[in-house]
Amino acid sequence: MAQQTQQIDPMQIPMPQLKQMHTQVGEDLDTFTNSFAQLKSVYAKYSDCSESLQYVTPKNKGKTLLVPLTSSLYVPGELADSENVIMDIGTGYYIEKPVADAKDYYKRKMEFVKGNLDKLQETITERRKRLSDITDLINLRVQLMQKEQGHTAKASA
Amino acid sequence: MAAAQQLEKEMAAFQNLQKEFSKVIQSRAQLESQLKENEMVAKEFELLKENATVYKLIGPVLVKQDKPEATVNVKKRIEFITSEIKRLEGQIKDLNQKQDAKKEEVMRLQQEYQQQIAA
Repeated sequence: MAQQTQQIDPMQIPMPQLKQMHTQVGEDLDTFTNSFAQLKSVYAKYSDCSESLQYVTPKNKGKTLLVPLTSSLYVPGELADSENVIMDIGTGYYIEKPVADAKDYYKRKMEFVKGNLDKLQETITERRKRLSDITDLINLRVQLMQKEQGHTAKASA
Repeated sequence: MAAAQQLEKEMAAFQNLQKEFSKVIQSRAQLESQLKENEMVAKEFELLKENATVYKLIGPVLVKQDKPEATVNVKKRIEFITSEIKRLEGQIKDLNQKQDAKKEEVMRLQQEYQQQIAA
């Protein structure tokens, strides 16, 4: 695709087609930025979970804590099991794991998401550059067209 | 006049095809994400010890499950989703062909119509 555009003289691409390319690339960019934000929030969620795990230690066993029933209603409880946690692994399945294994799980997940974030970031940068290239080209073409019109107007006057 | 009517009819048919097409594409994307989620769960089961405790969320309660049974269940689901995706792929191919044929038909009618107006 990129090679093809290099072969075609950018000054020869019809204006409507350029505008269409502009919208297309703009839409792509929007989609990617959205996915990026979503991935980021997923990453934050995993990171929060992983951080919470550091309080599940034998030292804290039997201590009182507040369990959130909703975001504003809490009831007191105590940490009964400081060795195992139960976590959601998707599609309605939950598994019980030792804290260390759970930490490992979140670490793996975070690495996975991070890898995708990096890949996506690259794509976004590339698309952004392409979009600004097209915008520049459109502006240049419009300027040239206006100049040409000015000349013909003078010539006919 | 008849040409205009036919053109309109074919146009509507073409748009219907387009709508159907995007619907199928959407369900395909949904299946894909379900497949990915199930694959993730299957991978997690593989890493699990044989005697590990597995729960399944049924309504609001967590029900204890046999690990081998759960593994088989997820595997079956993956198989089902994969076959569904295959089925949709076939539909997508079919719709693509139909769409192309309709497009040509519409374009041919458009030309005919314009020639008629010009005449």
